[in-house]
Formats: sequence, structure tokens, C-alpha cells
Amino acid sequence: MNALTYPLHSLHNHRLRSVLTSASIGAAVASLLALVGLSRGVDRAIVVSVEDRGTDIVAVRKGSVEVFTSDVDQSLGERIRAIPGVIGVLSSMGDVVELESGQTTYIEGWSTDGDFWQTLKITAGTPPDPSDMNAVVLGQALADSLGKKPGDQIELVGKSFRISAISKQASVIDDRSVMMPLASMQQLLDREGKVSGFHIRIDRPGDSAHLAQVLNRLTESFPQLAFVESSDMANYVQITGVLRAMAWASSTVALVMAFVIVLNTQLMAVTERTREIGLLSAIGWKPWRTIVSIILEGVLMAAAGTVFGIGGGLLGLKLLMMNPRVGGFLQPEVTYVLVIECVALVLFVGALGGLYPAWRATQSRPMGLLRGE
Amino acid sequence: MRDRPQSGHRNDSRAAGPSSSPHQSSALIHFDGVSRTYVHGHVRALCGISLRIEPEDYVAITGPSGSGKTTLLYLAAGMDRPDSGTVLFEGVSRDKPGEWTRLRATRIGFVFQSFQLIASLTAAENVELPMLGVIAGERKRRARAAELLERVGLGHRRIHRIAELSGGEAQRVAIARAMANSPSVILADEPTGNLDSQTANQILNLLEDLRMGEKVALVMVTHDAPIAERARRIIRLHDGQVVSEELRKEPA
Repeated sequence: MNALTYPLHSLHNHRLRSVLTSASIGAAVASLLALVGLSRGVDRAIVVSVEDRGTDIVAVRKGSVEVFTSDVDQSLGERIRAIPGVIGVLSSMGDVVELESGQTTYIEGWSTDGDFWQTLKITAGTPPDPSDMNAVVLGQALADSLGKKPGDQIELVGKSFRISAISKQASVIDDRSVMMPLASMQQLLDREGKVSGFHIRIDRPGDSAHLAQVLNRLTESFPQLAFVESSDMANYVQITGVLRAMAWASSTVALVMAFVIVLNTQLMAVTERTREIGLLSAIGWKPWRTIVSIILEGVLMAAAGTVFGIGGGLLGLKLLMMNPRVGGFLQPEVTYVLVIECVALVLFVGALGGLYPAWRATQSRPMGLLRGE
Repeated sequence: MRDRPQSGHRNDSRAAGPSSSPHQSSALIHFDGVSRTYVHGHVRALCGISLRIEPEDYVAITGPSGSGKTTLLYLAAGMDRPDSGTVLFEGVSRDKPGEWTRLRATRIGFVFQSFQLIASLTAAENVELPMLGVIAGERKRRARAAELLERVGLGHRRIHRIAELSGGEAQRVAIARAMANSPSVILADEPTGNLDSQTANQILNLLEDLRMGEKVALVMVTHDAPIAERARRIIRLHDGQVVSEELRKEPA
């Protein structure tokens, strides 16, 4: 017999109750893992998307609620390029559209004067000619999910485009998007002369003091624009903030429910076992040993719930990704760190849920407990 | 081997108080003017009790229902606290938090009328329960439990759950548990109360054997006169007071 034997036996005595409690904890873990994993996936995709192009700073219209809805004069690009320290400016436009298949996808327009089109990792076909207003490049994941290949047609906003190439992109957003020359996109969306923002490169990106200096110059010269470091893009993009807040809010509710369930279960267990707890005191168990034993029951249920929850969460995400409306956009990022965070949080909740019942159980004298008082 | 008190007795309505005893310093448990009431003082369980339990003593506490026998035993184990007076263990008032708990873990074994075993655990696990935190090492605890169960004649039942044992076997497990940490005294609350007479006799023989073999004091609450007469001393309670103390002789 060791310190785990007694709590395990106590849980085994009430198998159904223990399993149900673990299942509810599992639901909390699953939602925590899935929601936070999704929100982190979006964060990561945005940062990778920006950094993949060698962007150091992104400029969008100040006060714009969302990067997609940012609307800036394309001509500002030339003036930005003139700022000391800036070595490259790439104009871009983005939007979200629904494809014929019902799948939602991101469409991107990129200026042809920068090196964006040269950095594409083409896996099939050839990049579009800048003057070709009907050619697009599909991200590999989107092409795979649509079953498209170079030479096929794709309809966007009621207009048919020829797929000139397929490109494997590092960011899940780009890998599931349609890329076209900026002029083509401006025409498609009736936004000639406008862009969503600029991707800026500076001469010494590793020098943080220099980066701050360039940012200052840009902010002073263009008060109508907001300049965001590429590594901070995930925090700037409003939708990711909303997703993050929703993920944590839902997860917190789930965790609070798990806490209440463990608390309730352990309070019932302690009430039912008043005499047994009195006996433990009668045979010389110190109060802390009894407390630890009852807390361990909560932790063991939480641990079992964590196993169910991680499995359930991963399965749920897999099913969610099979939905084209979701899978086309989101790619969860479930890392070992996230799993460890979930496990730690839930074990803490399990321990916390057992703490009060355990403390309460040791507040009476053994004689009173043995009499069931 | 059992000792059987054989002859003579004296009635002594003056329970041995600390000041009257020639062996005051050797007392294992000493009740000094102990009173205990319940229901906000309306029910008087013990009233100014003074008595001594000596090392290796064999004491039967007897009296009618409600005379305070069980209360006295629980106070002797520190499982309850007196309203007034002091209970000393080895001459020391154990008032510091956790002191009685530590004593129950290491020096006091308790046997209940209703066994108070944990049904979901095996006989061996029940015996090991008090060893957690006292005897380091799972293997050592398991070996000690096996040795004790062997000693009480249940070596073959150690992996059986309590529900699979008879009443007599369950009480043997409870006795083995009380002996787990080699206590100085066993306090037994009507240990044969739930058993038939033949099994009761076996349990008493076992307790007496252990008392002699392990040199522990045995304090047993009983309302059964023949059982009480097996003890070296019989303390009779009535309405929370010691009404007589009978000292019996050791067997030749």
C-alpha cells in the first residue's frame, strides 16, 4: 500500500460518479485544448504569413478595425520607401470570399514590383505574368482540397480566373489562399488605387534600436497609418484578439464548471465517508495526510479527465477541420506546451476542488466523526 | 499463553488518583479530575474522573449503558477532549496540536466494537493503513502487515476484502491494525460486542496473547461481567463516576 492506494480505492468504490466527474473534466480539457489551439493556430499563421515574406513592419490605416478592411492610398507606398532605413515596400490587398464549393477562402493581391512573386515556392505551373489580369496562384492546401491544378479555372466574386501555378506556402493562411497581382485584385473588387496595407523591409531588422528609430520616423511622417512590427501582428489583428478572448472565456467557464463538479463530488464523498475519515484520525493519520489523500482523489479524477479531454479535443479538432468552411481557414496549433498548460491547469483545478472538502473533513474531532456527526 | 486473574478482589470506590498512587510517575495514561458533558452541558458523560492505566496493565472498564465507558476510552486515546481536568500520557499533558494524533499513530492502538475497517481495502491494506507515514518503505509495511495477519491467524486471508471475512476474522484484522505500529496500549471498545460467544472467546484470547507477547497495556470496555473478570483490574463506572475498582491477582 502506498499514498495512492487509498484514494484509488475510494474512487473505485464510486466508479460511476468518478467516471462522470472525470468526463466533465475531460469536456473542460477538450474545449480548452481545442479553442486555445485554434486561437494560437490563427496567431501563428498570421505571424508566419508576414515573416515568410521577410516583412519587418506592416502599415495599415490607423483606426481600422481589421487589416482586411484597411483602405489606404497605394501612392503612399512610394513615400514610405523614401524614409531612411526602409529598403523595400510591398503593397498588398486582402479579402475573404466564398468559393463555388461553399468553401471560404482568403484572396490576396500583391504588387508586382517587389519580390513577392519571386519568393513563392511553386510546386506546379509558372507564376502569372504581371500583365495577365486573369491568372492566379493557389496555395497548395487550397488546390488539394479543391482538386485544382495549373490550367484549371476558378471562379472568384463572379469572375473566372485561370490557375497558372500552385505554391506551397509556410503559413496556413497563405497555403489556403488565392494569390493574384494587385492590379487584378483591385479591378476585381473595384478598389483601384487602394491597398489594404504595406509590407515594409528595413535595412537592419535585427537591431531593435534601429527598428524603433525607423518606426518613429514612419509614425511621424504618416500619422494616418499604424505601423506594426511583424512579430506583433497577431496582437494587432483584431479577429485574433477576439478569437483569443473567446477561447479563454469559454475555457474559463469550462474550467470553473470542472472545479464546481470536483468540489461537489468531493463534498459528497467526504460527507458519505465521515466515519471513515474519523477512523483515519483514530488510527493516527495526521490531518494533512487526510487532506492530501482527498485532494489526490480530485487530482486523479482530473488526470483521468485530462486523458479523455486531450483525446476528445484532438478528435474534435480533426472533425472541425473536416468542415470546409472552417478547415479552409483555421489550422489549430496544438503544441506540447499547450498540452502541458492544459494538464497543469486542470490538475490544479482538480486539487483546488478537493481542497475545501478535505479541509472541512478534518475540522471535527475523531469521536464526533466516528459517530457520523 | 494467557494470564487469568484467579482470586480475591477489593472494592475501592476511591479511584486511584495521582496523589494517592505510589507509582504516579510510571502511569501510562492518567485521568486527573476529568469531566465531559454533551449537548451544551446537559448530558453528563464523565464527572471528575481520576484513574491511572499502568504500562502492561490489563483493565476492564465496565458499567451500564450511558455510564461513560466509551467516552472514557475515547478521551484516553485523545479522540475527544475533556471539558475540565487533564488526561496525561506518560505523565505529560498532551495539549499541543497533533500530539494525540502522533500518539495514536505510534503508541495507542484502538479496537472498535464494529471493527471500523475500510471495506474496499484488503485485510493487509487495512493493517497497513496506520503505517503510512510511520514505517518508511512499501515493502517493509507489506511485510509487517503480513507478519501481523499471520500472528492473528489470518495469513491466508491477507488479500481478501473485508466483505469476504466473517465477523471474527474482521475483528482479528482490526486487532492486527491496532498492533501495526507496536503501540504501548490497546484500547478496545466492546471488542466482542458483535461476536458470538465462541468467537468472542477467541478474540479475547488473542488480545491477551498479544498483551503478554508484546508487553502492551490492554484497556477494554465491556458490559459483560465474565469478560471483565478476565482482566487484572476492573473499573466500574456509573453515571460518569468511578464507583469501584477491583484489583485481581495475576495467575500463578
